[in-house]
Amino acid sequence: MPANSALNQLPYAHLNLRHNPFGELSREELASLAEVDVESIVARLSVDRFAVQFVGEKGYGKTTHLLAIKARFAEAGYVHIPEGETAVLPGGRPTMIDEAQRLTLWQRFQLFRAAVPLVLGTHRDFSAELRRAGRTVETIEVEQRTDVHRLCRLLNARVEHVRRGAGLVPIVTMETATRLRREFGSNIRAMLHQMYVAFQELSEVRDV
Amino acid sequence: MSKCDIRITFDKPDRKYTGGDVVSGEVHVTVNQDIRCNGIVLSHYWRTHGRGNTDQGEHREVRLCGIQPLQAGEELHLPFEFTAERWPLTYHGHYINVDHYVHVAVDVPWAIDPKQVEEYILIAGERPPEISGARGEVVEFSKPTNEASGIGKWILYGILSVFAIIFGILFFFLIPVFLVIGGLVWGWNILIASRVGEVELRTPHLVVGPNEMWPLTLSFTPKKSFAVNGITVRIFARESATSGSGTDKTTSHHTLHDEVATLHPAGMLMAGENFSEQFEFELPDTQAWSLDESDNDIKWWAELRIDIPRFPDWNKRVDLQMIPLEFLNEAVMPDAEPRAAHGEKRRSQDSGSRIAAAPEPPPLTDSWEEDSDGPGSDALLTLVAEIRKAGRFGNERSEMVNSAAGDAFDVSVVISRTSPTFGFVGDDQRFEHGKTVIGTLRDSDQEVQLFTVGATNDDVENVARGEAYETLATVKGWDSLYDRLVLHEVPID
Repeated sequence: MPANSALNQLPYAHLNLRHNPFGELSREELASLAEVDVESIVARLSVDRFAVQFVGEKGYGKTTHLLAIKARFAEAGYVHIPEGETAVLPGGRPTMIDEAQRLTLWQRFQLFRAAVPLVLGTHRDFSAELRRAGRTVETIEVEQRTDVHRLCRLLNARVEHVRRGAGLVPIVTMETATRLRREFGSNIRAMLHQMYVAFQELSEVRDV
Repeated sequence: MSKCDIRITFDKPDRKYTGGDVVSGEVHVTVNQDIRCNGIVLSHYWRTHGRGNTDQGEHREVRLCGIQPLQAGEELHLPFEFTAERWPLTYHGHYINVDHYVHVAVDVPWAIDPKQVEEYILIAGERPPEISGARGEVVEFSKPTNEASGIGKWILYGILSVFAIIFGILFFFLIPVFLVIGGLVWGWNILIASRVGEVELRTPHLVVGPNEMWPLTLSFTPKKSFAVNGITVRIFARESATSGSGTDKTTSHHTLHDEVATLHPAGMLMAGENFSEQFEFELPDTQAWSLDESDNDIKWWAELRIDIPRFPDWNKRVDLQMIPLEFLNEAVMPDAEPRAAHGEKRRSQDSGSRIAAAPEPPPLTDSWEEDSDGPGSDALLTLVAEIRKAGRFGNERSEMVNSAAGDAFDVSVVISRTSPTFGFVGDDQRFEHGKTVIGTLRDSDQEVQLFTVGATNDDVENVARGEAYETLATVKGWDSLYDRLVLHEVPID
């Protein structure tokens, strides 16, 4: 979109959208758009000594999985630990820690032995430590969970989320999703960046 | 089906409002189920969207109705109005967008509130209070603060004190490192100064507007003779949007404008020969107003460079603030032609030239001596002819000008253009608020640059382009770039 079009029309009105769908979203929006299958996990999170950890590099969808689970539990306690900081452990069932590799040793000791179900998003595999604490552990490599069909649904869900009104909006095709999967593997963030640029360049509603 | 549908309409169909305008319209609520409503609240605010994390302004609320039961089938038409903010203005860029929103929510107890949001377009209107019209200092816009209070404030102070102590201890051990780095920087600057001497850069306008002339004065006296690849200025604008946090933090940059112009072409600068030039550049047409938020920035700056082959370059960055012309006090000179020295553009993302070509110095004709009839002009033209005959790279020209310095001449200058004098280089303050007149000596093609004193501003302004301004002036120098005389008006006290 040309930088000087601000005074002529509402943002992205030419695409029948409100924003670029692949821009940065709030946590609430991310949770509402989470296109992940967490049903099997949700069912097991009623057990106190159960722990599930989503392991993977940044940009592969750990936070999205956690937020999707959080949306299913009104009593969940969630915390994201920023880099270089410590966080107070939240209460709640389940207890959910994003960036769990930043927990202190003492926090891990306390948390892993507490009688609450646990959900971790982490770069580091804690399965051995969790088992030593008497937990049943399920480890999910998030990189393995991004098939092309799910990816295509995820991308189009973002487009629908910023729809301006009735009528056509651009659609991300399966061919594009396949190409993105081939080019970027499971790195969702890199795919979103490329789609952001593609939507910036769209001058009218058409398939991408 | 949601409990109710909300539609927001604006009185202006194009939704364009200027800062300080009254934004008005109507909220239409169609109730689909019987509900108890705890109130309908409209809030308006600005927010960024794009690649970066969201920055937003204060949410200002207007209560449209209070607690009341709503029945299925009922329709409410609730008029609203509020005063539009003045800043920031709507902007749609590449990685950054700024939009203004009207958000309406129906407060339903124990349920998700039905809500609707619509944008409106804010264009420049009333000047924001932070902008005084002064141009010499970048304006900081007030931001909503999350001020700590009570015990939280003391905890914050405590943490900061601990960090200060730790940093102090570290600093003590790092003193040798800082000394080495400081020494290297000092040595580097000394090395550069050994060639160019002390460089004075004056940029009276740091707050600027699109399409206007940006003035700067560059002045230095080389300590040694040296070659330059050129003296250039680069005008740059960039969006920077930061997403994520911590190790997940990513900043995306997008260049909005990148333009290099040559102030002085490649050549020799002679030791002891003062280089003192005023320049003006036409800034680009843009709506990319400067923005300085936590995760979304639009920055404008200029980089001045004296490019010395096989030697460290002198360079300096000047941060600019781009705001709409409507917010600036001073009127733009409608007739002001850019005096960009050799407006060579090396690199630009835009196809249209933003720097006007420099006026070529007119050729000196053979007939000027016979044609000139004023006694002052005669003497000056003789001096000009001698200067031109002298060698360019020796001290001969300087000596000739020095020999004429102090002598007053009656001059009659046919005006080509007039502009306010910015950043006058010299001790006499009477010239600082005067005019710079570019023109030719009457009955000749010889170009001159005449600095007039503030006391004669009205006289100068009353002379139209193409007419002659007559005064008494002294010779101050020879501008070798344009082959023209530099004159100072003699103040009449």
